[in-house]
Amino acid sequence: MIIDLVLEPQPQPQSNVLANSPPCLPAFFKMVQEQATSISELLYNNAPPNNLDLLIIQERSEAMAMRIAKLREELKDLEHQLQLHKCVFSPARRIPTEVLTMIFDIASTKPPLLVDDADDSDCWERDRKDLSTISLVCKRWRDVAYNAGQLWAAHEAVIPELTRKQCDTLLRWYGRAKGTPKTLAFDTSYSFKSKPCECYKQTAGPHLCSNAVLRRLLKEGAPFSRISMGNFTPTCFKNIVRYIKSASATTTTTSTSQHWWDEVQRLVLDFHYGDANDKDPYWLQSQLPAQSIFTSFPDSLTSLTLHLPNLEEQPQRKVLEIPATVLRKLVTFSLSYTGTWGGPQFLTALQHCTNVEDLSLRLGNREESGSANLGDQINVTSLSQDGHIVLPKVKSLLLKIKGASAVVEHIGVLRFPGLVKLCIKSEDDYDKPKPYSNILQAIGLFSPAASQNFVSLSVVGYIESADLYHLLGSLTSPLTHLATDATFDPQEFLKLALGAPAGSQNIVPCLRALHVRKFPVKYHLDSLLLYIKSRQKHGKKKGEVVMKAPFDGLKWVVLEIYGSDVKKQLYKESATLKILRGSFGIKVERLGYRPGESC
Amino acid sequence: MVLLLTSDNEMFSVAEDVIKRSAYIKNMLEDVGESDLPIPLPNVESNVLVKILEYCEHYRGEPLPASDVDPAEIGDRSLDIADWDQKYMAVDQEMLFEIILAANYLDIKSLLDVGCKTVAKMMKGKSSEEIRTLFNIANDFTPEEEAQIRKENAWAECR
Repeated sequence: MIIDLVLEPQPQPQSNVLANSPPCLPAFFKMVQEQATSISELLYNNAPPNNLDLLIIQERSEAMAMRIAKLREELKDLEHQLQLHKCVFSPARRIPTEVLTMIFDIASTKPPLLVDDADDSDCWERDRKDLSTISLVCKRWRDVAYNAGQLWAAHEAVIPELTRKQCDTLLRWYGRAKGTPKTLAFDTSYSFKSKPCECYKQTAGPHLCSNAVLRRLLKEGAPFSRISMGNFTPTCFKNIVRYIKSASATTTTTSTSQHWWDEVQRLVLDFHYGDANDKDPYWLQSQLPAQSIFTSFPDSLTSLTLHLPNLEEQPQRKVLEIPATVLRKLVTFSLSYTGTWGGPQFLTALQHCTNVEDLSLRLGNREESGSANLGDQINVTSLSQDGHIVLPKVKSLLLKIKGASAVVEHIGVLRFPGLVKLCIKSEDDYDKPKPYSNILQAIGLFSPAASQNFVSLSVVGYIESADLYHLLGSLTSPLTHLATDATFDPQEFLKLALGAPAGSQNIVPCLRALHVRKFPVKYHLDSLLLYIKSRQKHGKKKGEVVMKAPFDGLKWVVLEIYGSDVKKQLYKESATLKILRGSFGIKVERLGYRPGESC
Repeated sequence: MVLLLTSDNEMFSVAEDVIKRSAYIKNMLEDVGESDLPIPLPNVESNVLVKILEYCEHYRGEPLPASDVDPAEIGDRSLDIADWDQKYMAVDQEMLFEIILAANYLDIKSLLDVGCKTVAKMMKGKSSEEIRTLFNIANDFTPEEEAQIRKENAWAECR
């Protein structure tokens, strides 16, 4: 029935037969149609259609297909129109430009490759694909993104892989940075395909500073206010600086016509990797002070990150001849050595860092290195009366430590009377606990004279319960924030806390926030929660939990949960957790927690 | 207590230490001093203010963002959002954007951050077409304009 209805002759579209026939044919065609077998008859009797029926069926089928296609087209168009109308009411349209910029900023930030690096400040990168995706959403998003200079001001380039076309794109993006200070992070390739730079040979080989694409980037992308050079040699650095200074003499940035290089505020020099560093004569020969790479540092430099190579076997090395005038201007300073050699040379440099507020040191283990002459090169003149190098402005200190004993010896000379925040990061394997308390004691944090501004401590690595308990109990400053890896045994820690003499004060009595990370597969979370509970005196009144004086200040606990095995136990809403959240009013937050995820 | 008057003429009486998370209100209270007059919030509807107050109540007593070591900023660089915040932000898109707008207007930085992170997280890993569908955004580019942008950002397509 339905089929017959559908096959009723339609007024349009005209069939091909009609379209190609002389004008008198419609009447004929109508007559032919009338003579044709009906579709229901054809379907019913199962007989093959005759030629006329075939022709008509074919014509009708084509007409129907065309009509369906047209209707589909109309439907699509209608849906599109409806969508456009709905878009007018989209709540996303109401977001003002400055908030949209913030969203783009967050959405396009590239997370560090290693979770451990998340705290480091060298997070300059943007996700290029995300930026492109954002720009392609609609005209408004494109305009907002293109006008947000900070999204386009920092880029990385791998040399010598960077092609001319890629360089064009980078220069175009830098063009969108407008007034935002620009950052260029370039790195020699770490792949097996590329040959290492041979700048150090001076006379032959593929010099980085002669790389046409890099030269163009440095010339046309300038001025940069932050430059990072990864996997370079000192000779490369010297050559590049020489090129910058000679090639873009016309690129002036201030009314005083100072060269842009001298306006660079932040420099990251990574001499860590590659054979080239081992062969670079700079490291192997004694240098005159004037030949030091550090003499060509920019005048405006306030932030310096130096990753120096492992030159353990080179007795003539002179790695830290940074002029005191450069060091005195620094506000941020990060210094690290590859390998096990830590060396006390940093002390020579640190004595001049009197304006540094943010200090990061990576220290190796002298004993493991087997070096005999360490200490010979120390040239410290600015010691305090009690024999210390005092760095009065350091507020934030990051210590990356490999080994332990030599570190205490080296670091013990330093004092930080204005310290606010300390992070100690062990670079040893997790099978060996680190005596963290020795390090804090060495820098005077257990002394009554310690900075009373010291409020935030972060411990990364394997710490034992007893050491953590001792460390926290020995601090003389009002620590309010503690972050630690969950490497200590919480049951043992709880036992130590409960074993304290009756009436004694909580350790770190001013603690307000606790952040625990890196949970092992088996972790007795409830013991940690019970310890938190034990800090607050409480009782019961009419079945209700009531707090008693003195009231503990710990009100914020963050548990950073990663790894599916760990999640199973840490997602559990235990009775203690409920009490802490409910009756004690402590906010226990879980980072990495996904509410909908099955346990 | 502070009186707040929403755009739909609903009056809220809120504890001062709760609403002081809003820098806008905090500054206003400091400038005007104590007053019985309600503070008009012409850009905030009552249902949105209820949500905003829920947030401020939860973080009552926590240091304000001006603090150097605000725990709310832990993990700030990543797209990590604490579980309470995640649950708080589990609202329909209309409300999510209203919260962001209100946080921006009332100058509640931590809430604005969480809102922006939530939206950024929704966008992460999606194509521009998927983002349009997600947020109901019309593609107003001509094919030529779209091709031009792709050309301008050519290298970006590979991560």
